[in-house]
Amino acid sequence: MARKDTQNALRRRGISDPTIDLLLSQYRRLADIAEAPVEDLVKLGLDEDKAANVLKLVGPARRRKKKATKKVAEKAPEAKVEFQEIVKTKPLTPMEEKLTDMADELDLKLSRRVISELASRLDGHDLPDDKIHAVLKKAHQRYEEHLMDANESAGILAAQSIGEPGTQMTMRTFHYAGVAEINVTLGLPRLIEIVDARRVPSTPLMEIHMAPEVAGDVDAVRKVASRIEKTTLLDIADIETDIVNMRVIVHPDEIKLSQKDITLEHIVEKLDKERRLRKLSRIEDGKIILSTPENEEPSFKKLQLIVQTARDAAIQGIDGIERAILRKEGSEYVIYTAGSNLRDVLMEENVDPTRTTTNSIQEIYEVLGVEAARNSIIYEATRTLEEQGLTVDIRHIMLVADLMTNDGDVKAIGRHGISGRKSSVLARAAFEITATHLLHAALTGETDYLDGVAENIIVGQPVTLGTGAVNLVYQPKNKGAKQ
Amino acid sequence: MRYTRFEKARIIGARSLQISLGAPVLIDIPDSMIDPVAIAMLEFEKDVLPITVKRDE
Repeated sequence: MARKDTQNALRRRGISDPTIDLLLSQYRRLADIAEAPVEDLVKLGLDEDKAANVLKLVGPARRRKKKATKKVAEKAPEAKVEFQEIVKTKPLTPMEEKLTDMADELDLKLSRRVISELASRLDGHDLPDDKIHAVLKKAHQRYEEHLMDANESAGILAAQSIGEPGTQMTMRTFHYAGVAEINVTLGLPRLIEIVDARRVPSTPLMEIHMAPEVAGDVDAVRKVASRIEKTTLLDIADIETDIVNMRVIVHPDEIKLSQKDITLEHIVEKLDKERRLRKLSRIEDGKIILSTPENEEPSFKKLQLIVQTARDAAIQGIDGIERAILRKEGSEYVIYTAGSNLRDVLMEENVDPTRTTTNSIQEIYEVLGVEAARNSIIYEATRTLEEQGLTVDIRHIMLVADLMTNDGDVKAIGRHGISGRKSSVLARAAFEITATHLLHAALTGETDYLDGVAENIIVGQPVTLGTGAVNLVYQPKNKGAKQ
Repeated sequence: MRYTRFEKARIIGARSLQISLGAPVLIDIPDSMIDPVAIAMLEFEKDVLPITVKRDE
């Protein structure tokens, strides 16, 4: 096996078959050949020129590899980025402040949201304090009435409230509203994707906002867009195969080059990074010439390979971003992309990291953390439902998102996620593959504490929800004290 | 203490069972009132029931 690999490797380097046989009689690995001194090769029966040539062909590849690993090791500590805290709390308006103080005074617990809603309605109306007190009291009363009772079966309500509208969703995939060309998964498939916590959405998307200073400037935004978008050589140049001279001629499109802010040197530099095109390209009056390696026998197959590699060579762009499209929103230009790479896009210059998002929940989790992932689940699910004309109360979706992100990472609802990890055997058995779960539990001696709903239904007890969760106690009443 | 609707239902349910099994009624009721549930609800509203709930904090 090793022998055959070495043989193929030598052949790929353009060493002739008889020479290879000679080399393989002594050496097994490519690295051994590379390390061998010229004299040793001559002893094998090669003449000196050939031996030197073999070393030249074999050697560089090995050394280059070593250099590459070194580079990575050196780069790692550099990658440290200085973080900038971007936690922003909206300051209270004077009215909000007044209401908060009053609520404290009256010993009423009201959420910030209610206060700010009240403040926005009361602002501008000059109400006396006692009237505002009355408003606050009424608001508090309504707030209390709307709180959910303890032991309410919130999960089942959420499941029904999302499930029923879900039956009305279409299975279609739409094009993105307003922007041509970008495909978006919507409707039921997208909702399933969110709830299943897939690693990569089927249509990853990004919405990239610009820093306020440049957001209104089309050219600046377009520049960022072209820097982000994946650009191959074919996108910016015509590629011609010159069969007579066994070479490839690249005619760059000047207009596209200046649009994308790319120079010829830049292209050559990028082409040099391609494994198959190393050191083949040079600039010749406005064109780039890729010639077949001199020390190798020219063949059409190799030429073909060079053309193909060159055509798909990435010249510019961020990994994963397939297309970037500008769209005007109000006075700003926003970039929409097909494909997503949050980490790298956030590092780009002029990108506003506070407003830039992706629809990949997993990426948000990795870059911004679990709380951001939770918000993203809520946002994506709400938007998907809304786009279908369905309104589901956000609290149902929040409950789902909370469950999914509850223990610090994003888990799917279902077999591999939450349902499969329930602590109760009977609950798991009730969900899927009953016999397997029961058998495993019997073998390992699991205990079921009958805390959940499914377990209690199985054993025929009142469930621990609603009326079933209430424990009554006898408490004799002292009649005199009561009146 | 304010009761949730589950607690209220549970208390009235327990009390009406007692009444239906012959327990003495704690308040004066008209002779026409024979439904144990109705009687229990009346008792609950008059706040004469020696029953309360245990809530785990």
